[in-house]
Amino acid sequence: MSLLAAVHYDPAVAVSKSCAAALAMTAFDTTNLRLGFTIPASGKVYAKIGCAIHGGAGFPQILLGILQGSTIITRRAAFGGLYGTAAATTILAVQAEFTLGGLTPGAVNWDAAYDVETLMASSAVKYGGPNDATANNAFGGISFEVWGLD
Amino acid sequence: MVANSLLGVDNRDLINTLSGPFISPSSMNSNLGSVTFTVPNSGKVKAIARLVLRHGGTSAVAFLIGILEGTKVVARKAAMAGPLFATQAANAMAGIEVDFTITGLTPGASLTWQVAFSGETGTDLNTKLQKQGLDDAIADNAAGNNSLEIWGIN
Repeated sequence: MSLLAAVHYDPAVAVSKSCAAALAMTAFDTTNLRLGFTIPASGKVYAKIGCAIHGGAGFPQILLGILQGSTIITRRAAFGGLYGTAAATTILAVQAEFTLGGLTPGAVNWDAAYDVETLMASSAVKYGGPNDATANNAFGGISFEVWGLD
Repeated sequence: MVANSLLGVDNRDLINTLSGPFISPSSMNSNLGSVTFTVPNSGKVKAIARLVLRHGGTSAVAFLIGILEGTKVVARKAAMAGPLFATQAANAMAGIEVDFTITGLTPGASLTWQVAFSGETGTDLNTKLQKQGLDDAIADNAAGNNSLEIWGIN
């Protein structure tokens, strides 16, 4: 097993990806959350995406997944757990893992992506934000990694 | 996903009174565990921190867990949590975990990384990232260990 590519993107200015309307699979950021790598000869990889949802006292129902251009490589309901009550200031960490086989070996560009199945107008997928003592303005990084499997 | 070789681990579980910082708005701070390791030739590592949030109070809090190298923030992220087994109460605990895959480090460098947190919401003097505790039959006085693992990646 070897790491093919990874990014942990945590910009100083927070980014908000709306969950206010139903949405088909959409890349988060084709500049900063795109991984270019070579699928190994086995045709097998493991991938993981982690991010946070914040802003409402309820949570939208989203899928996390991977796009190659407009092709959906995979997608899955994200899992996460609250460590307290759900409030507008609660940060819910979510992640999804994928083990994929039968891929065509060779160079690809994969984008971390999400969709919205059930909207929550006040909630969004968020990442980044300043590192300071001001409340409720940072959400940490969004991560996307791909590992080669034998 | 665990990577190829364990470079270092801090796995603290002292039989002692509960200790740990409470949550309030802050920049990344506090040493919740540290590991000194040598960066492998690949320049890639995975860091995994496992902690305990202990609800001494009932206020909602929000925080990020990260890695500090001195005062430099290596990475930070909202932590995955095991859902509360019951309602949020003054004696509820939740296991939390965060992992980072870090690339582009200088091979051969000796680094000391600390687990840190930043409070984002809520000030509750009783809700803390706690560790250790007594091994006895007295209720609600132990939280178990914190750990930081640093794995080398090919």
